[in-house]
Amino acid sequence: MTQPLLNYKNVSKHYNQRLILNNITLNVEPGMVIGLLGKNGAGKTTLLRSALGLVKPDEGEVQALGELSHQLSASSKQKIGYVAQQTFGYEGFKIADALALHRSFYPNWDMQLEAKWLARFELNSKDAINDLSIGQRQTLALIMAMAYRPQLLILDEPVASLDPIARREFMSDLFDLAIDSGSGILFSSHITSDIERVASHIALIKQGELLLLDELDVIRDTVRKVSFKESTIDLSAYKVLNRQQNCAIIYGYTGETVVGALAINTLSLEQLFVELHG
Amino acid sequence: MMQASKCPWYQGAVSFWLKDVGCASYFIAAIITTLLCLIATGIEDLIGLMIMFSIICMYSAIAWQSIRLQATEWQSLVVGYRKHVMFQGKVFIILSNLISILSIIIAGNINLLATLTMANLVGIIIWFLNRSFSHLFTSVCYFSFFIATLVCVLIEQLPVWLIPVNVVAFIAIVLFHKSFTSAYKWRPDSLLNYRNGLQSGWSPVPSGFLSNYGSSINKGLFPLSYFVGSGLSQYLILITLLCFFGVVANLFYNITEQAIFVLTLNLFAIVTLSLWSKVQKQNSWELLFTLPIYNTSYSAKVALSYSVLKLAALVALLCFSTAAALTLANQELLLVNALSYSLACAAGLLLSFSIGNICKNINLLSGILCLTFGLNMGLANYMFDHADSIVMLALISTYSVFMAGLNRFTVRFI
Repeated sequence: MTQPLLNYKNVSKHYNQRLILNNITLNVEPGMVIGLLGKNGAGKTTLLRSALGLVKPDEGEVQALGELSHQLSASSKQKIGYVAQQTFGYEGFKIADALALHRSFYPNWDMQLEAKWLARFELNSKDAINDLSIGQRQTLALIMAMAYRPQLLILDEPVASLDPIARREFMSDLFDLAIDSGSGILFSSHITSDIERVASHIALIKQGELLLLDELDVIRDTVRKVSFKESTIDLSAYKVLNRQQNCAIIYGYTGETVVGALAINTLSLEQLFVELHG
Repeated sequence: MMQASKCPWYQGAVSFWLKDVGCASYFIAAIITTLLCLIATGIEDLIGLMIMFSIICMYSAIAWQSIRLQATEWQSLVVGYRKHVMFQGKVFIILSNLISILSIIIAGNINLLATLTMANLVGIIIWFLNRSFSHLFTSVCYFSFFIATLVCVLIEQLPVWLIPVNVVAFIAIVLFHKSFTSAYKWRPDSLLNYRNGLQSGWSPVPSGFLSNYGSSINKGLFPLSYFVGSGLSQYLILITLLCFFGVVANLFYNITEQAIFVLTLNLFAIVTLSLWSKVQKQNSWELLFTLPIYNTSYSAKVALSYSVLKLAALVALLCFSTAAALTLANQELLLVNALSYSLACAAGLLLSFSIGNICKNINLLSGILCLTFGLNMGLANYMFDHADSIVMLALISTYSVFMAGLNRFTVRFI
């Protein structure tokens, strides 16, 4: 068994007496692309920040590349890429100057990848960063985080401000990176279609709790919405993700008959997300 | 001191120190005053203040960079990035210290070394405090500048025995700082503090100060108050209080000249600050246009020029009342002087705003505003001292009308 690139072990975190993360356990293995899905304020950003040691858990521990995330060595840091939700850090620079300085900190910088992405996303290296749109800044941040082909890539809503074409291309590159370099990727997004397109695994977080973590195909195959009349219906054979008066979302369904069920329906990721937060 | 990245130490220096507006305002001031130290070697009263100001400004610039680092989430992951930026800061500190030492050698006054070491001590406190507590930046800087100025004004020559005391204290702080493990760590509020600092620039007024009393002023001076923010009314109230205290103090001690000087100095400093804030919010034009008030962007600009004119009229009224009250206390009402002085202040304000209308480059604006500041100060004080004839009054009136026209004309270039 390979060592996970990122390992959350029973991680909990409070802010102002509010529980932000509740006993999260999650592993990111090489080649995995985990899409983190959750409502605003669900704890996604805190979860991602804790992977980098920016936020220290109150309980449990986070290990990145085999080291405690708040005590990362220089060599480990050089293998981690991160794009924050708010891109900030090179105000006052031109794109070319910012990239030149940034690449000087990374011995394995891939100049071809940089040039390819600059051209693909139509970024003019002579432009000042202050004059870029939010989407362009995000693209630049992605180039800076990925051009040294990190082993572990952590992206906090990386495509939120990109147009659909750029988003599609970026997602495709993200997938290629994971396949080619054996990288592990953990990214958050609200756009379920993007997650479905690229993620190998889905992590669904609700009010700081990890409701669901599995391969995308397994989730597609085993998550169902069960409608029923009698609330006494026996669903103990499954993990019940959400239960209401006349329906429930179950996980672990393998095609058998459920006694008392009026209907058993498949759900798209978006439907699942809406049902779980309904 | 170790250079961390493989690139030359100066790579990115221009962008970090001159193109980051928050940092540039301190860095440029530090560079100018450091160079002025060499010129002012013959003026004993001035050189101490220059040394103090230049060194503290340079440390403030470094403190600003440390806030920027705290606001950058990814900086702890990029090995060598922080050291690279801080190495540049240390080089600049050493250079400004070397120039200060050179000016002390030329001046041949060993006591100035006590001033220099004191400045470094104050500076390192500013820097180290802001490495962990970004919200303290403005208050710590202003407290330090105030203390430093007070020391220079009240104590003619700092005693030589302070040199070793300052050096020992400096070294102790440098050694002690290693126990501050939280230095430069990312904090959720740092980006907010960075952006607040960027908008307020050199503003010493806390954002909530007197804000309850200024809503009617802000309403009357809209849309200027929209760009400058609550600071506009705060500054006006502050300057009115200053005038009041000046007039009261003048009843007991004859401080007319000093009060006029301080009023003029504060007035133009505040005008510069307001312009600074306005420039920071240039992008807010879009939001202003969407308000159902103006039909076109040009009508919004015209409204802005009128609100500046209203501000100039308010300032003229305030300056006239203060100057008249000050002279009245000395048993001689210098009405023409007071009137000329108030018009000069209003004209200076209009000139500064006209420059703000035309000038888009923040560094160029800073430079030109510094020169305009000197011109306005000189003219206003000259008018109070010498403009006792109707001819002078007519001339300054014409100048004021011209400035009002210039402000109205240049508003189209915003």
